[in-house]
Amino acid sequence: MEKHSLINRSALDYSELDYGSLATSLMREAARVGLWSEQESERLENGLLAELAEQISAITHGESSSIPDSLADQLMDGIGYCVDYALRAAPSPEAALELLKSKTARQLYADGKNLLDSHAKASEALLSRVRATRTDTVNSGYRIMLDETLPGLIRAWKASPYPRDFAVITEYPLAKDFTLDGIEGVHERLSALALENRFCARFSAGLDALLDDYALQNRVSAAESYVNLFTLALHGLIFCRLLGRDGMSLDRDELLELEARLLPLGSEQRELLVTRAAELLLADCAFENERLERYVTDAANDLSTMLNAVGGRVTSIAVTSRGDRPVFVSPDGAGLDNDAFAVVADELRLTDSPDGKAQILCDELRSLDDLCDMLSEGCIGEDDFDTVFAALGDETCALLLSRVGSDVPPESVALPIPRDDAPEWQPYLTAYLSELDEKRLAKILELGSAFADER
Amino acid sequence: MSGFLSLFSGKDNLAARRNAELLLDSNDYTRQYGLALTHADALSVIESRDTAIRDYGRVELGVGMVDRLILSFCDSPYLNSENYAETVCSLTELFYYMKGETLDRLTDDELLQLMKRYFDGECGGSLELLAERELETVARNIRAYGSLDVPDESETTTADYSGEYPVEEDDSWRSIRL
Repeated sequence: MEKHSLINRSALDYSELDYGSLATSLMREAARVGLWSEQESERLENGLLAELAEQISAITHGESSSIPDSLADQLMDGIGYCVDYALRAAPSPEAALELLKSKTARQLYADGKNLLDSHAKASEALLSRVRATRTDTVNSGYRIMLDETLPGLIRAWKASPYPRDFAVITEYPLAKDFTLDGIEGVHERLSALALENRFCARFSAGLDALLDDYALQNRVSAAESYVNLFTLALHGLIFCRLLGRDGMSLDRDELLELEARLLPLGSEQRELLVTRAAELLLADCAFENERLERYVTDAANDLSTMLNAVGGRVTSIAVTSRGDRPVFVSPDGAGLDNDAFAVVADELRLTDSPDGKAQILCDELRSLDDLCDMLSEGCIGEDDFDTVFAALGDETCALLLSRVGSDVPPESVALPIPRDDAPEWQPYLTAYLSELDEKRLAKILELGSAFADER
Repeated sequence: MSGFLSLFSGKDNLAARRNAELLLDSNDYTRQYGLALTHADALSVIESRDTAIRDYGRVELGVGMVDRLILSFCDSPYLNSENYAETVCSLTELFYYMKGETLDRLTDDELLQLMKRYFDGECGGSLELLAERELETVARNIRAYGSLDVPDESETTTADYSGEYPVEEDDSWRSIRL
């Protein structure tokens, strides 16, 4: 039902209507403007009481004339919710009032109940389909929603007699923001998930890599990422098409190239480009499913809005592919704030294996300053330094070497000797490097010297 | 209370008058025992019922079980025209109290039969004994054991005076018989 219309010719004041409790607020408002009589109230109330009496009789098998008021409240709330639901299906408050006048309470209750039951039945069928077509992913939010939350919500709905306050909260974000609660909200989310699954099934091959890149970029694990897989895939696919190629993963250079093209454009031009890319994608995919095509088009429109909001700076919203290249720290790499630094340091301390520590350093640190500080934090054991340096790679070791201060004048091809008060990682680094073969060491020294000169 | 259930508050007076009228129909049957309610008595009984229902957190639609209570108790030797209305009011209140105390495990008819049996039997027409001794015991048993009576414990094995339980031994297991 439209909550507001441009021209309100009705005597009803729509602002007085409470859509969470439509029947009672509508009766109150209609009575205020003289459209609802005392007799009509009595007729409706008697009808509702008769329905309640019937439900009490069914629950007690006719063997008890009274029930605890908490149970009566629950039953009556369910009846009221069904009546409200039937009224909300009317196109306008006036039409809802007409329904209240022309139908008995029992008919309204049955109408609402049938509508809600149809959502529940459809939800059960959809749940089976959605689980059967699940996307193969490590993301735990997606798995929990599919295996626990949605089945749990359907079970809870069936266990309660049409509960009014039935919040639907899931651990996995869908591409659209869904605000409906109750079984209708469950149905709505399942319908969307069915479409998203169908879309993702076409691109499942690159989805995990995309999720890994997202996780790395946002400093979370792929399992714990709170991100929608459909949106990740769609954005990647559209960006690739904007560059005139297939695929859904873009590296930093490609994103910069795309950004250079999008920045000078106006909002409408960007919108047009994204819409065209989405159309091309849909034509290539040939889903032959109108609802899915509409869903994709809507998501593409959302992407246009998002792109325009950041002025075409696609690098700020896109996932950058790491590809097979190792991740380097660099002198001007993004540093961690104090809290994030402390979290990484704690993580390092809690990790036993040197390989695990090396992996954390590679994944989490981008700034050379951060790396030097972290190595000085006492998070790496004496015996672990060699493994860590080996994992960091020669280029990073050369960068670290450029930070080793020495009192001894450097000879042409020789390792610097750290000062006595140097952080403990420096002597370990020189010890590690001294064990390398001459050719490799020479290359690192050359690189280190170049980096030091740059400083 | 939900928005809908609250709609019906404020209709009490009208409903009470209507229910009192219905209650007076029971006089046709109880007159054979020399018992009859006046209109004021009937209103008083309905009022007691409404108060009990409200106080014990229950909901009942229509005249409820009061007419059945009257038909069950009217042949009691302990009721007479002088204490009839007052006793019916007390029994009505006791009935709703017991419904809650027995966790709604007893049907209306089971509870009425039980009350009548104790009232005419062990309690000798005493409402105090009925409420504080017999029905309290019933409520306690239902809450503790889920049944009207305490389960027979003669067959359960208890520890002997030394605190030892009988032990059975076989080749591989040692088990305690409880």
